[in-house]
Amino acid sequence: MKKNSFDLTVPNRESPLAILFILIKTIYNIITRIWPALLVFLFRGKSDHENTSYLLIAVIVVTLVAMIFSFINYFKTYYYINNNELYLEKGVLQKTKTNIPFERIQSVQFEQNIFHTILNVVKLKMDTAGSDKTEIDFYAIEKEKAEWLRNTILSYKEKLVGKNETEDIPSTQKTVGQEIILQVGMRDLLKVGLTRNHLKSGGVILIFLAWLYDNIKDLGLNADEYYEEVVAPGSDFRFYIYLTLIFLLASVIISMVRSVIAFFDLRFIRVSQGFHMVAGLFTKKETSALDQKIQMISWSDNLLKRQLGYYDVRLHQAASHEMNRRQNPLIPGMNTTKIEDLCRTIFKVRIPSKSDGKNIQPAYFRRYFVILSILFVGVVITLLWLQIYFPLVVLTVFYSISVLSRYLQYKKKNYKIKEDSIVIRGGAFGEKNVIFPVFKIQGIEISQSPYQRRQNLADVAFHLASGSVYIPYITKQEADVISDYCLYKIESSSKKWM
Amino acid sequence: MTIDPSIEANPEVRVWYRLNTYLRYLLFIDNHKTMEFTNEVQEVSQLPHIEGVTFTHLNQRYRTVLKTESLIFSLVIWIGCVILFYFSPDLRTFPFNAMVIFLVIAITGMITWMGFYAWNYKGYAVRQHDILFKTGIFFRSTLIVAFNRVQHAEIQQGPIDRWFGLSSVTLYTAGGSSSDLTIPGLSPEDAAAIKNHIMKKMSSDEEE
Repeated sequence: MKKNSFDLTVPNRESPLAILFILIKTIYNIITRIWPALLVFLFRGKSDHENTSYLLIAVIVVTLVAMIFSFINYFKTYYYINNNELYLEKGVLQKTKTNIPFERIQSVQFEQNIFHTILNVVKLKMDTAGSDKTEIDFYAIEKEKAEWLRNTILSYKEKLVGKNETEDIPSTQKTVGQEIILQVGMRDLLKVGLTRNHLKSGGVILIFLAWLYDNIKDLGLNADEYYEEVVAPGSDFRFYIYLTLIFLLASVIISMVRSVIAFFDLRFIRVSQGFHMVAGLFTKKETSALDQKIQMISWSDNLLKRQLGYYDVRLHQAASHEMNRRQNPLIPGMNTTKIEDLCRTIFKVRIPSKSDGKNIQPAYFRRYFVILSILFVGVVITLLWLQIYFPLVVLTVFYSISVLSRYLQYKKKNYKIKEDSIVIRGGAFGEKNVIFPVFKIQGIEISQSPYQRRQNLADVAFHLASGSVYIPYITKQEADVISDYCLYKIESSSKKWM
Repeated sequence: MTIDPSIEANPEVRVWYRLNTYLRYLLFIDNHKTMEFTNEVQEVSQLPHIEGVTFTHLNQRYRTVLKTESLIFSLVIWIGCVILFYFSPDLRTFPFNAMVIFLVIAITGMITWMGFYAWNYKGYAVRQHDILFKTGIFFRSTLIVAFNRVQHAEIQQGPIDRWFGLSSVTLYTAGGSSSDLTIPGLSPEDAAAIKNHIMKKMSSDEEE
């Protein structure tokens, strides 16, 4: 290893710039929590002058306390490495000393926003297996130190992996050979943005509008009055068409903007025994994951993405928390061959074609349809009786969409138990697929509702370290056979699932 | 690493048999009949072989626990109902009081009924490589966890358990709370036996 200008075997503090970041974060936290109050303060009338000045004093006090705490926090936090463990010392009154063996560190993440980039520091996060508490979170560390730390940890883990599984790791791969799997240019990025789920962006707009409406009301402005002024006089049909068009356009634009912010300059890189993903416009987010930690791979598309053959791929890693599970890297704009390659490298399996798989039982759709229809008819009759007509339209639309999507889900649900892996396909309008090796299953659950019991059907759930996957509505015999086989595979497997 | 030799008496034969049956499964040949996988049931105390999976019932005292719990829970609901009536006079008028009382009777009746019969539908089976736990009156489910996926095992005893002289065993896996397997209502000896058995299995797995 090349000579460094620093020594991490003795206690180090974070970069002094960390104070700045801690401060910014604290102030940001405070402001986001109390900004309506601040607005009230800014737009206050003369009468409630006294109350608001107390408020201001409170804000200042809180800020000062936060500042003092961040200073103390900075000066009393040390980290160093010793004997392949990372030590962390913290605290003034109650001192805590944590040591984390490198092998327990599951991922090392760098994050850089604009300030970090300018100041040449990184925000460092480490995820550890098992325990919930010892997640390491540094505000700012000098970039070279962070890189050295990551390389040390990853190379140590590689060596460890090499010791355990000597089979299929060619020794030439030891050097950190980087191979770019996916690089998203500006044009692809726009395509990715165009094919995103615009309904979600539309929802974001609606939520924003609702929030704005609420807050304007808080300020004492009557939005309803304005509405009448603007809309009431010329409220013809065209106005609503324009409104809808603007809304749709805004949704698409927001999707594009969100994509650019999240995936700008995306690089998905294969490093030895793991993956790196770097992306982001303002905040450069860097995630790394080791092959062994990946429990399943899922890929999905929607109606728009299908036109371009794009899939969003997610590498699901083992995590103890529901929260952490959502932080799995999402790689947009992947195509089928790349997904095939990914599965081959990570799980060493091939994805079987769709026609290979088996479908689930039609009761999956039939049962849902019957129950929903009974409910629907009941509500419709009640509404007709009460002579309320508007919700009827909404309800009918909702009912038809639900039935249609359930039917599509039934048609698309397809599973294949291969020798070493299980593929479950599904989705309603888009496609949602997941593949995982059998030996990574942690627990199997067979469940039956009263109806399923009468029909001799069952659901099978596979619980993995990265979440659960289900095959619904298959025959009980089939479910038994599947779980017998999977259990046999799990129990006779000597491979480490992580 | 191989399968535990004491368990797999004749591994070669078994593996070939399984491969054969699995191939049949892959090719959709008489799918529902084949795929036998020998994994004999073991009794906790002596671990003898039993044909097929027979679930062991939980301790008889646990039946009393379930009954008591459901009765206490119903009682709490009734007390809540009375308090509700006391504080809101509106509810005491005709159509509402009948509705509320009907609802409470239905709910508590259901809870009590389930409390009295839930025991019959709970059971566990410890096999050579894994453990099964079934539960549920209406929605029945069976959770199976292989010993080599257990992270750690724990014996727990709550206040009610202590009162009745019972313990529960929880097996933690990496699959999160959905695949953590808890067997309640065991006698302390059974709980210890299950835990020790699993610990032994776990350590023998690690040695390999």
